[in-house]
Amino acid sequence: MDEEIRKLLERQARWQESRKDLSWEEKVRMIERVRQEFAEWCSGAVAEPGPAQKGPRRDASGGRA
Amino acid sequence: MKEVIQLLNAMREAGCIQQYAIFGAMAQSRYTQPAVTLDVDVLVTVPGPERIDSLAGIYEFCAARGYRAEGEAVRVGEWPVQLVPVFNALTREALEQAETTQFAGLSCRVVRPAYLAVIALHTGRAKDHDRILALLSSGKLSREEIQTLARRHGLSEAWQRFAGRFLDG
Repeated sequence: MDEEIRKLLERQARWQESRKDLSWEEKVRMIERVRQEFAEWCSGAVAEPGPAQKGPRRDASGGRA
Repeated sequence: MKEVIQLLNAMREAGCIQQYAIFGAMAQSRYTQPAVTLDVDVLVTVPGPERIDSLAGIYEFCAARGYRAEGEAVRVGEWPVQLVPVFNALTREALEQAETTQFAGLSCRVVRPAYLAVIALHTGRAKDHDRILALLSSGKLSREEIQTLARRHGLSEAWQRFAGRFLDG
């Protein structure tokens, strides 16, 4: 494994591990946010990104929409 | 979560439970990195536990306050709350020895890490193994504490199997 990537993964692991030192209230808030976003994702409420727009939209005749 | 704790404290004050302690992933998150969960698990002692419908009083209390049953849980705000009467000496002791802490200015009781680990050892699912490893790596709990408690509750073999598979390999 590339040395830079290994160091990056180690730093990320330490950063994740440091979450254990947050207050319980803060951790519960994180869990609640994840739950809410997961529920929205499962219900399809999160908009899928559409295809990139290239210039102004045009209608079928080629005019601006 | 604050609403859950308010309800639990109100249940105890009204006498429909004698005592409670939060356990499972929500309790674990007090000691480890946040553990995502869909439910709040709560150990309770109830008056008249020998009755088949020992949870009936709890459900009536909740319904009177607008909290409806949802499967095996009571829905409190966004959280399904699973109330589990103590079911053996281990869970009874876990509830009795729970620590009192504060959450959003409210007093609440949470099962201590050694009991969380040994209850997980007793339950023995894959996610319970993860919980034990997370608790150990949190630095809030030692192998010796788990071993001692496991031995006291007849789980020495289960602990040796776990340690052999996940810690000593």
